[in-house]
Amino acid sequence: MANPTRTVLPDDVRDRIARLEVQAVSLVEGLISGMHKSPFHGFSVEFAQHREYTWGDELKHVDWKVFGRTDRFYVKQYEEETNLQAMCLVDQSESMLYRGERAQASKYEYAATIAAAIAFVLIRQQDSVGLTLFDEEVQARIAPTAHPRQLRTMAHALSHVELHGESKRAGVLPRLAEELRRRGLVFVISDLFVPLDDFVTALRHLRHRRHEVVVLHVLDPDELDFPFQDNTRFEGLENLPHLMSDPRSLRDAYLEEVRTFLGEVERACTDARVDYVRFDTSVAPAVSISQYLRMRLKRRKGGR
Amino acid sequence: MPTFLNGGVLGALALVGLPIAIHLLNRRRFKVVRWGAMEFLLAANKKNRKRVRLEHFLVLLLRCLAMALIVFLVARPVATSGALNYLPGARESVERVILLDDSGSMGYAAARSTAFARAKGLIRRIAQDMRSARSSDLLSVYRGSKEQADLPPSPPNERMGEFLTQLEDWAPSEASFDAVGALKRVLGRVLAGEDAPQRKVIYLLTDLRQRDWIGDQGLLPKALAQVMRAAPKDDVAFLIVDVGSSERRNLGITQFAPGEKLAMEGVPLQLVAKVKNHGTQTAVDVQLVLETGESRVPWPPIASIPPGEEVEVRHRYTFTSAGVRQLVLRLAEDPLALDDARALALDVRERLKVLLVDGDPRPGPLQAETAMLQLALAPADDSASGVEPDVVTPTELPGAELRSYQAVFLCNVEAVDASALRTYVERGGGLAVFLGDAVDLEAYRRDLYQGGQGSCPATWASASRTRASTTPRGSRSRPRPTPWRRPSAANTTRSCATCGARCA
Repeated sequence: MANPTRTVLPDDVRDRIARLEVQAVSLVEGLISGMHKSPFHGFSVEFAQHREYTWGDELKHVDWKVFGRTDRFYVKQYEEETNLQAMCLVDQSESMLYRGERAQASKYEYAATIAAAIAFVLIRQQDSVGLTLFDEEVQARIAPTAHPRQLRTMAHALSHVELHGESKRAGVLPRLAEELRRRGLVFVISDLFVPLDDFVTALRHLRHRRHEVVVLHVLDPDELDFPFQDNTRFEGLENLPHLMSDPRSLRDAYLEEVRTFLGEVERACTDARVDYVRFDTSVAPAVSISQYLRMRLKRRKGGR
Repeated sequence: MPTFLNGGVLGALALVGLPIAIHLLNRRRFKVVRWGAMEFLLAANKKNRKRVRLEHFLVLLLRCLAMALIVFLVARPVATSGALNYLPGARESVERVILLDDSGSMGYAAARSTAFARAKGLIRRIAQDMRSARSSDLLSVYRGSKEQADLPPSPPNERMGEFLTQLEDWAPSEASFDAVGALKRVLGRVLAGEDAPQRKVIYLLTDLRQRDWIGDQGLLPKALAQVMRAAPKDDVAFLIVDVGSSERRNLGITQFAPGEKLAMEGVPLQLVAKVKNHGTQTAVDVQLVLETGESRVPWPPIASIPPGEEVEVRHRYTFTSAGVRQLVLRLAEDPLALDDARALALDVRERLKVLLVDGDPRPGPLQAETAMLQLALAPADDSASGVEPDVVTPTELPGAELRSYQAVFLCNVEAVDASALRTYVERGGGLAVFLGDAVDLEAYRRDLYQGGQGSCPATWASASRTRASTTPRGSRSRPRPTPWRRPSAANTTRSCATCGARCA
């Protein structure tokens, strides 16, 4: 299908994303060096059964609760003791191309940076990570692996992208959810300008398969507070019609729409017991990513 | 129809189109944004479209109206009562009464026109306003100095037009304004009028001079208030319109007279004038101009006149021809013209012919009875006195043409032809009698006094004769000479030796 507003990722954007690998390293290295616990460690390690303690078993696997009740040493056995498997779903639809004046980067660049950073963190701790780029279809898929070269492969995929598709089209998210069979950690990195029903359905699917899902919602500050003053012609990305308007008169109604949208997204995430984090592209990626990782770490320490 | 003071500005109403043009131009200038969150924007637009359109329309309308309003403000519409009459509570018609203060002070010119001219302008405007919009109203006009109305209550018709033409010629009177009396009189007339409308407005057009409105004792305001309060409050409204100015400058010529009794051709005549400063500030460099009919002679300016003071100036003027002449002395520059000029009418004579009758003509210098008198009346040098004396002996007197002389001097004449002199005196001739040793007093008493019926108003006593007779004729003792001064002949001193001890 020939798209008239076909957008190839601009060169400078491509360059910046190409440096993702280095960027991700510098972003995260400082943050997690000295951390004794990983923010992502051990999600998918599933308890299978107890067996009696024998010589040679590590003490840390002793289930002290059982000891407390029965006065016997039992060791927890896990069904799958492989490393964590994570998948980044990155939205590469045309709307991700938007970059307002205050933004540090376009939404896509931002999303790619986040994806690379997460990949780096996971690979560092020998977890496997994969990447899926999607618009109305799945455009690229990199199978999860913990190989150190994976980060470079992912960065390459992220920077060689043409942004022209429409995530608005129904169906892609649920389909993706369907395809992810192995239990793991799923990051959805998108502006979520998708049909809400799709999103909810996809979340349900993912939860149904016992994935741990983190929704990383990337938005431009312009989209959040609509600061336009002069007469403006808004040209719809993703094949939506143009709109000639006086932005000041539309602002209140628009903000109301956005508020409703954000509310619904958050509610959907809460209902599905899915982590929801919003990223504002005007905040430097380093700041927001480190903030998110810290938050994540803190929560783990706190109790899960 | 509403009228506009600056009707020409209404053309600028085209500016109403300006906001529309700006709106259209603005629509052509826009930014382009490639927008991701288009769904929300479209939804917002769909919800808002009607409201936004209405808002835009209203804003545009308000802008256009604002332009129109500004243009109307500059054009200054005047709401005429024709329109106001339709408002609830508006009265049908009103009788407008103008009482015009036409006192002399209304001629005071300040700010390029006199108070009186401003008052006339106001009357014209009221009349025009009535003609254009208040045709049911009546207008009457009274002047403070006149007993009768100048314009009886009339609707705005031809008669009023005639009146307005007459109004052009009006000038301030020289009287002062009796505010209380005039108001009482006008109020009496107005309230007595039968067909007049119920509602009346009395306009007092005045310059509000202290003298007319406060009075010397300060009692006038009270009296005025009394008069006004006596009028029915609901029906009569008073409107005092101050057309005067706050300027207080005023100079006046209070006197202009000749310093001498005789005005003669070629003889410098002294003129005396007094100028008073009625104002509150010292007047400096006061210019006076003498208008003689042929020329305007500026007098040297008076350096300064303090407020309230009067300054006297004396200057000479020489007439170059005889006849009845008018002199006008004018103040060159003063706001109140009324007291700025004084006129003087003078009978300027070519010369004054007098007849000297010498009763004792003797040869030799200054020996004749009339010699000194002749010198005194017509000095021998260039200084012109204008007097032309002819000398005759008593015997020549009956033959003389008395009518051509202004005065006859009898100098030591024994007796005269009383009937001829009587006729002469009765016609207005002057007669001077100098007595001497040759005089027959009895004959004088008989012929000239005639017991009160003659040409002399008094008779002669005899006592003096006794004293006179004691003086021996040969050794005349002359009286002390009296100096006779004239500016041109000030160095000359002559003595009168005509009539012995009698003549002083």
